Amino acid sequence: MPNRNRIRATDWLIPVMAGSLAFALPAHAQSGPNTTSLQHTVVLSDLESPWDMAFLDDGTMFFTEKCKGLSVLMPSGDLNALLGMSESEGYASTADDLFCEGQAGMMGVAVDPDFAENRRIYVYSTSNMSDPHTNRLMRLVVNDDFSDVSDRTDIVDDVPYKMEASDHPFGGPGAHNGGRVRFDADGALWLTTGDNHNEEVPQSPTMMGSKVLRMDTDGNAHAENTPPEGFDPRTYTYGHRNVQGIAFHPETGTPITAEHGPWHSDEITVLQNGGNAGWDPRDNMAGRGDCPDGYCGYMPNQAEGMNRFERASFMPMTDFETYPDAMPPIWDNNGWSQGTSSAAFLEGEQWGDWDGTMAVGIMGIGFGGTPIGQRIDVIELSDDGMEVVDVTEMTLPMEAGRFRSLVLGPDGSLYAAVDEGTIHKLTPGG
Amino acid sequence: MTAIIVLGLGAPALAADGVAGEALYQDVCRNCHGPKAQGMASFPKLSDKDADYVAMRLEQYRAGETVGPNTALMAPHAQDLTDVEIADLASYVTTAFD
Repeated sequence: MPNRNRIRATDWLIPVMAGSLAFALPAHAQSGPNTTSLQHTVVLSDLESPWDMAFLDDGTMFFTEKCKGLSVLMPSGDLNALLGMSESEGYASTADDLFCEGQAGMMGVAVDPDFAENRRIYVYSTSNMSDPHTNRLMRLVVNDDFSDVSDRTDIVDDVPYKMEASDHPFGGPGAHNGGRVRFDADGALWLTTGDNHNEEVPQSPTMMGSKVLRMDTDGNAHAENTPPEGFDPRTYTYGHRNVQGIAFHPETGTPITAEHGPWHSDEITVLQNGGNAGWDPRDNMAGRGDCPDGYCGYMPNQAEGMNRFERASFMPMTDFETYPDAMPPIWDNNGWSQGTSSAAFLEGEQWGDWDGTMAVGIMGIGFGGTPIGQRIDVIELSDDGMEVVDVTEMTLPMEAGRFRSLVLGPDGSLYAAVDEGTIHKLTPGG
Repeated sequence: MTAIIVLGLGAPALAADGVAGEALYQDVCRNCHGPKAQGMASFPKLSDKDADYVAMRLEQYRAGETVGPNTALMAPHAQDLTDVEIADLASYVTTAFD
């Protein structure tokens, strides 16, 4: 059959650097087969778009499904459906305000570091409780036998949601919500959000899309956040497009994000407190004229493939010309956008040479000559965690899929959820 | 030689080749719509649709019409499809996973 994802020769040309680019990232060849053999186990299958997982030390695994709700897999193998969304059946509790639409729905989940004492977990979901609707970060209490949750407290209720369709790729309601929820080693709670295809959100000081939030477990701003004056104090960084991956360097604790690019340049970024990620898709600025529905995010030719470097020079993922102090990405996926959506550090001697590397999940997008690229990349960082040294594509012991979530389990294995409906366990060693 | 079957829907439809449809689908379409056409993320389920509906949509994408928010993703894949391939795909995704 014909190759429907042909890569034109022009896509491989070294770009003439536009004036807006202050630097060029080195291109890393993605190496061939690695030397680490992985054992593979299917943890759960036949799920509906599993989005995220969170573990207790004994292996208890909470997980979300985007249009169904929150469940928990017990070490015994018992599966308990805890909190269902509207129209979900078979759950111990139901929250009728929680709904899914397009990319929106129930997303990230995290376990309180003090779970043994307070039984708290945190779940990020789209809700119609307010109008316009919002994405909310809920705090829930799990009962003693893990059969139900209670005491819902919406500690964040104001992450914007895209209510109406717009003239863009993926332009339906519910676009770009971010969605990852994580705790760092110090016990701070982090939430990543997205731009809703709303050109005003990324650089807005008060709209909480396109941000990385750092908070306490009541949803209050972390005391050491240093956003610019006038910004919501929960802001750790701003000016993002759609962050769905965040992980913390095991040695330094530094937050590192993995972010979806706009038909070009997925980015991995070492975050700086108060930093601007440099995404600003407004029209009639930065050399751009009018754009569809005011949002230039996929321009200059949003419906058709074109050279990714030309696209990047017109609508940069990180606009250094407008924002010279923007946080520079340490990796741009060789200029491709392929659905980079999750990140987790591999830790432990069992990972051999990969101990301390960062695994990144890539879902794959086949558009305009882009290689689909479903894979897990293993990214080796410099000792200080500030630069990419090498990138290796993980040789998978199972079929690749849309890798939505990567989480290191308490057993040291890497758990990977794919949109196809499976949670895989990858264990190093033959 | 592909036989012509009249479905009473105006245009005659082509008899579908399930094997060819599977090969096409599992090579490209599955990456977004899922290995069982179950739909994933923001990409719609296909296994519950009628073959005529799927064929109509593919023909619209092929013709360059804008049909919903994922047109930009679908159009490049549809533009090279032949009538036979559309019929094969529509049949496969709507019958293989019953």
